Amino acid sequence: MLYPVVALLALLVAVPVIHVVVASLYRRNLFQVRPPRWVGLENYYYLVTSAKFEVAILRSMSFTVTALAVELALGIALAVWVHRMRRLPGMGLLRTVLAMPILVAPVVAAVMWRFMFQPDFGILNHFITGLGLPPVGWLSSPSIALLAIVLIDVWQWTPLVFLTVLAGLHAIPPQYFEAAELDAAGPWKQTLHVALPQVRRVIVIVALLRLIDLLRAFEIIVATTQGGPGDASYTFPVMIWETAFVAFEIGDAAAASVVLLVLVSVIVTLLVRAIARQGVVGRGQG
Amino acid sequence: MSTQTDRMRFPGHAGGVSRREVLRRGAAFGAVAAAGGLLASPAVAQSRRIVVTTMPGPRWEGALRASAAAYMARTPGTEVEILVSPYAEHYQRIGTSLIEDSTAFDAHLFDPVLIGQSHPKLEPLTALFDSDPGWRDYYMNGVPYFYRGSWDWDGVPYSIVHDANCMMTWWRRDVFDALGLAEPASFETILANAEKLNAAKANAGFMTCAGRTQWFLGMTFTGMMHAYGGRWYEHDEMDAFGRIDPARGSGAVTLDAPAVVEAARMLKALSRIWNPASLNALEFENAEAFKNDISHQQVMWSGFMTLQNPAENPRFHDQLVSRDFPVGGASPDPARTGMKGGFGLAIPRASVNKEATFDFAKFVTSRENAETFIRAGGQPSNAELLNSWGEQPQYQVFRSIAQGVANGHHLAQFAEGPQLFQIITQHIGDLVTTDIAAEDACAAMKRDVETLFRRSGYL
Repeated sequence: MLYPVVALLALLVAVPVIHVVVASLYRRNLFQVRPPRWVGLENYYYLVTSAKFEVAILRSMSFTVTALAVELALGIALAVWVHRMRRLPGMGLLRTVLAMPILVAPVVAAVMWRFMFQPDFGILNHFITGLGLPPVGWLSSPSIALLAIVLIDVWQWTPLVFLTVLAGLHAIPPQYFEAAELDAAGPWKQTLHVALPQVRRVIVIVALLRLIDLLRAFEIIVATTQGGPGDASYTFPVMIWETAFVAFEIGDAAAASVVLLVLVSVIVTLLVRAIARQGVVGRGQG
Repeated sequence: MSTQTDRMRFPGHAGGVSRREVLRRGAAFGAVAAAGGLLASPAVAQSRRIVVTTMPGPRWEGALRASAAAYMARTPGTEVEILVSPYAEHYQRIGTSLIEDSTAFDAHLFDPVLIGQSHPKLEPLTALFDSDPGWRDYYMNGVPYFYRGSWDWDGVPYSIVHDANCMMTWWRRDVFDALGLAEPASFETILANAEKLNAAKANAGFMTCAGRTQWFLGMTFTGMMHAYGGRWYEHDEMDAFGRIDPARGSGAVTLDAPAVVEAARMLKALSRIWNPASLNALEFENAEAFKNDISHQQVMWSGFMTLQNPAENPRFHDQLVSRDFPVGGASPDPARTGMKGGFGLAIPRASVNKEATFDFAKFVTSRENAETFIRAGGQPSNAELLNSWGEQPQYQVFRSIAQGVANGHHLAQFAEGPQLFQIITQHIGDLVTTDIAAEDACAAMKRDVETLFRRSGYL
């Protein structure tokens, strides 16, 4: 009974990966009529020695770390707050409203924010200048563009962290909080010593999911800046897309995709191992 | 036996009919339809269906749809289907359908950047051109050589060039008159004007599509480099049409030559005073900036034609004027400036309707169809049409296009051309967003282009 599953997995996962790895060993332009040329590891050599490789890695890391930190902090804080206030009227509606950004397609969210960020006639600068402040080049200032994209991602994906952690909090038996109250623990101590330790596995899982997603983040950046201005938001996935579908260099893009795959796998594996050693997930958990 | 669920109710059939009855009637209808189809087959064989791919927008889709409607009215028995897909998908569709020798398409809205790679899969049009000498002469004499040649390969035409586009300067005549500013015929004038315009109103002085998107920055800079007398590489000559002969190679990469560095210095100077939105602006945002009285001087593609339409731009449609791309530097040559783009209609070799498609393409470019084509939003390639229609205020931009398509630098027409634009956009992006000096940006740009050319066997 195992063989069909293995065969299906091989078909869905292994075959495309092998195809990309093989493509990365050829120099091939999508519009080139002459057949692809075998170049071995040359595509990888040019990739890692190019200036844009270093830039793309740096931008990807900055984007991932910043967005992940903000989304986790905000999502957990919101979940704890909504969980504490769960008996108040209207909290169900509030929960739904807070979760709504997830329902918006990322590219739609990006275009919507792009219009709001427009420096000359966007609504955000309309309010800012109305307060007598200078207009902000949200997506056109090299020092702000990446942060503005982080803001879009935070708006869209914090609800995922919020909902997941909230579900975990709801699963904690109420007796735990009652016992803490009997021990005179206030809301802060209850959160710190009862709620968060109980949902740490949920937090780790949602953090890993967001990490993987952020390392691959693509639609929002392409729909807002395409990596610009200059290379201010030129992340690794944007580099792959630009190489494949703007420059049509399939071999180079395949090599970059393989590097991203390895990079994400290594980062996630190292993190999972580190977390497993702490006993939160995996073999070490108690 | 029929049950209640077996029975379907149809309007007018109070008692309903059984499933078996439905199947029986369906089979009878099918047989009649098939017989009718067989009987009608001679008529079907006479009607032709041409499928033309294009991108959205009045200039492409609008002009082709209007032309198709006019053509179908004039040519009974021919159906022209205009198949629209967005920019990126359109190019992929061309690439994949040519590789696969697909017979699904009869003409593609064709960008000359693809000609080097794609011409073996396109129909050589010399014989079809010669089949109608009257039209051939009208076309050859009307569309400037340095423009239509972009769609040729080894002297053989592979497209009927029906659309013209180039970069140019736009400005607000009333504002310029009020401030006593000179016509922006050179970048030095643009810079001086921009400072005065900014002094009168913040960020009004100069704006361009300088974002990373679609290599706008790389295109703008190439137009400037050309205006200053620079070139990408030694053999980047006007009659080389942006191509590299593999046997001859590119010659030395000249992206650090004094003229190129001078153009880079000018762009850096402009970037210090331009409307900051330039760094992420798309064409429509530049258009909005004009419409909303935000910027008064821009270097842009000719797509601003719609801004001269009173319905599109009620406030300033009659105040916006254009001219060919500015010149610059010590010895400017007005016949060498700017950047050209544009599209033709290419017929795939695999098409089974070549003659009919060619006939449609001829019609699209004809004098007979000019009014339909232009009023629907098209920008014709024929200089005579451009200049005569350009006398009307609403189409004055056509005169700038007529100059620009003859004078502009060609797009890169070798397989690695998109990568060349990517490299230029990258380094000029660094130039205008960081403190890097023009000399250093140009040196880095040259280094990366040399690497690309070595990999490609051009150096």
